[in-house]
Amino acid sequence: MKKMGRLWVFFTILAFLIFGFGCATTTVEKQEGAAPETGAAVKAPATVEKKAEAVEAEKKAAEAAEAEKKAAEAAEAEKKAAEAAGEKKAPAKEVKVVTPQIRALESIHFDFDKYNIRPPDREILNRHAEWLKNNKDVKITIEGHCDERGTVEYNLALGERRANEAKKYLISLGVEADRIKTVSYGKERPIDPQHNEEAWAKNRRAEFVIESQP
Amino acid sequence: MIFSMENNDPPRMAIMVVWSFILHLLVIAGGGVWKIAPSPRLTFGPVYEVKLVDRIPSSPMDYGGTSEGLWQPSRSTVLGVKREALNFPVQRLERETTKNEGVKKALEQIKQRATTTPLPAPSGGTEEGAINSYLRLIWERIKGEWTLPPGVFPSENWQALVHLRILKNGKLTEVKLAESSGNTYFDRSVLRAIQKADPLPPFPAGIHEDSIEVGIRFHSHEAEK
Amino acid sequence: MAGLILCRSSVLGRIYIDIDSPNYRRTQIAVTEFQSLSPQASPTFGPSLTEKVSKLLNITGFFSPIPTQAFLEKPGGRIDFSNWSAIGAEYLIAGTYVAEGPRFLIEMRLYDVVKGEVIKANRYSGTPVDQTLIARQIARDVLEALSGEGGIFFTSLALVVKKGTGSEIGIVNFDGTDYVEITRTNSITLSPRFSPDGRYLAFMSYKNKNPHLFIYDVKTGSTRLLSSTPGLNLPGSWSPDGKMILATLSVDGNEEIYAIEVATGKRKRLTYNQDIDVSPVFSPDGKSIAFVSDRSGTPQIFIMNSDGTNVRRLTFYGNYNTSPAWSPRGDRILYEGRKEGIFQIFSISPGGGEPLQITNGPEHRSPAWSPDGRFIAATVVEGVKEKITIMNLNGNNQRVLLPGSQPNWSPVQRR
Repeated sequence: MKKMGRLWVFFTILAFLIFGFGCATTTVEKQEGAAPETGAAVKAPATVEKKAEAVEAEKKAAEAAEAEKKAAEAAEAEKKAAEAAGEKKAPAKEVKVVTPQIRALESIHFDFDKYNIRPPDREILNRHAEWLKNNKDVKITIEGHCDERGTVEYNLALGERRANEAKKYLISLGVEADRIKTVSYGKERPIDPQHNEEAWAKNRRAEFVIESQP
Repeated sequence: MIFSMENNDPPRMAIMVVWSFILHLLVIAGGGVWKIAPSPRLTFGPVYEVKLVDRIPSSPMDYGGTSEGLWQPSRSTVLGVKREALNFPVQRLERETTKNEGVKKALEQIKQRATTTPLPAPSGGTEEGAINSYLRLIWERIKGEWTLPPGVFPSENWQALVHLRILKNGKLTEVKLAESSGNTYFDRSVLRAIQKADPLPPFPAGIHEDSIEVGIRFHSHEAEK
Repeated sequence: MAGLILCRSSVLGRIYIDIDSPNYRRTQIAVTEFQSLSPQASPTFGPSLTEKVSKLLNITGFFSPIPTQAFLEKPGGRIDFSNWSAIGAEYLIAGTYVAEGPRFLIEMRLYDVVKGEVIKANRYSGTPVDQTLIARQIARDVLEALSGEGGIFFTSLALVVKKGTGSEIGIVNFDGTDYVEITRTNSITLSPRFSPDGRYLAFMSYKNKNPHLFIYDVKTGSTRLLSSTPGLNLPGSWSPDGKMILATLSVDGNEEIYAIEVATGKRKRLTYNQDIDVSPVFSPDGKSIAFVSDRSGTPQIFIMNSDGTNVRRLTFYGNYNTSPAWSPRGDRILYEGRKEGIFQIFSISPGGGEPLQITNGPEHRSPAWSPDGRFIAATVVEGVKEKITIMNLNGNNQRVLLPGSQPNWSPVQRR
């Protein structure tokens, strides 16, 4: 009997969250303007949701962390693909990915063998900085990536440069340094596995991954 | 006839052209004939050898016989060299022997000239000519037998010197490693080359000695490609 | 190129002749079938062993085993060297074996056909299972007798193998046999570097989420963490005495070269420069370090003293030169350079000068030297797949071994 009761509570909260997420999404969209979001599990920064999130987070912690991460990455990949394709529309709020404490901000891209931030990418970073300043408790990891050409090792360094340049820029706009971590994957994690200019251009990127709240 | 030509005299002009053509052909053909002499493959080894010019005894035999007058007292008897090829002071050559690059460049220059200039006809019948061509034969034979797998002694400048005596019947004796390359296996390869070339053909009639003492210097600087 | 010299010390004195290069070609060798001397000995052991020896000698690119159909006499009887020189053999290998309980006793003789004498005679012992090992010992002894060094047959390659979205490190014999995967990190793991004694393998792995430097003990199979500073912890080469390992760390703000004491983890910074400095390798005498830096605008190879002083640029041809590998003989540095859009391997003297192109055709990257400085291992891109290839130091005799990248050559493992 008690068991049933608990189950009902769980479902209620879940429903509440889903419902809440929907509203939150709209709010976030308004704030960010054109930032696209695909799929479910968008973390709503609205204060109302925080408590529910905390509960959710606790539950999540009990589940396999690995599965989460994998699903999140799959969601991320989906998202990137959508972004790269230039889709700006946020599809229906399907909740198929259950994890999603992790969401990413839009990636920026680089020229071959370069780590300087190009003007159009600065716009993107400006938006990220704004968003981060409005969501003070969010931490991110910037991942630096390269295309497949050239040395493994030099590309690891280049990827790190790219991540760090993006970090420096965000800091210069007022984001606290301790909220930003960087990691380089060199050319080891291409987002487009093809071997042509288009794929390479997509792979030369910095990704902004939101870290889950502890 | 030709030089008294006026520009406005077409028929004479034609004749001039024809004569010019014929003369050109003659010169070129003449060069071709001369070229039929010994193989242009011959180039010259370390120029340090030139310094030994001084010790060539000035007996009439050395300078006689060649109509082109190519055998000058101040030049070396390096086979087939036209005088222009030795147109630099002996002193500089000696210094350059200590540097590979200098030697290589000089070699290239001489090779270039030697392959493009006609070689003199062998001074018919002199012992010198007979020895020279026999020595060339030795060189070809031994070089032909000297093999090394590429890359087995990488990137180093190896040099070994072997002394031997060639008997009148062509047999090789008193074979001795006079200067080791420092690499046992390289040394062994040069000795094998000599062994495989043994016996050489007997001396040609023009050589009067019973045997010839020879020193063979083997080089290998294996460039990367 | 030919060089004939004529020089007389006197009319009757010694005449000098100059031969300035040999004919570079493989040594013709006849490998005859090892003969069984006892009825109990397995008859297939001989042919099988012979074939293994032949294959090993062939893979070095130094030998050309003469096909058995060309042989004029059968092995086992008295050797008539003229039969062998007639078919062009310079060397002859003949052997016998007897069974002794569960083991075989094998005798091998290496003959110089030209001289008509034995150069080397050795005995080996092992069980049928050891056949490959014995073949390698025989090949080693033959190569050593003929060239001074034969250890190549007891070397391995460490390599990176892609697995899903990550990669692991494996070890394989120099000839591509007996591949074993040695890491199971389920993450991205790369850049293997053997210690000078071959006992340890350093590598970088993301198994703890961030890229850390680990040391794997080949003997015990255990792994320990050496460096986990924030940012990169990418291993370079070890010092010749095995006490230090060079590394690229970004702990002090950007990618710099450090030397890390293996026993303690203490690090010493070597480069102080705002730009990327990566991929450090020691010279064989430990006095210099070659590395990659983009301080002059694009990635180029630089050299400095082992204490970080006297940094000077080495490569000036091309605008993307990385992955230096210093020859164990000290006289050449290999690197990968971008040419016409793809990468090829080049060789340059540590003193500088014009580089020599070693590879061409498909893309080649990540060169590594064999311990005897006579072979090069590299990544070659076949189609879109990365594979490990080995070749002679001139770029000849390329043999593709197996899929993988970033090869690193072990030292000779004593047997």
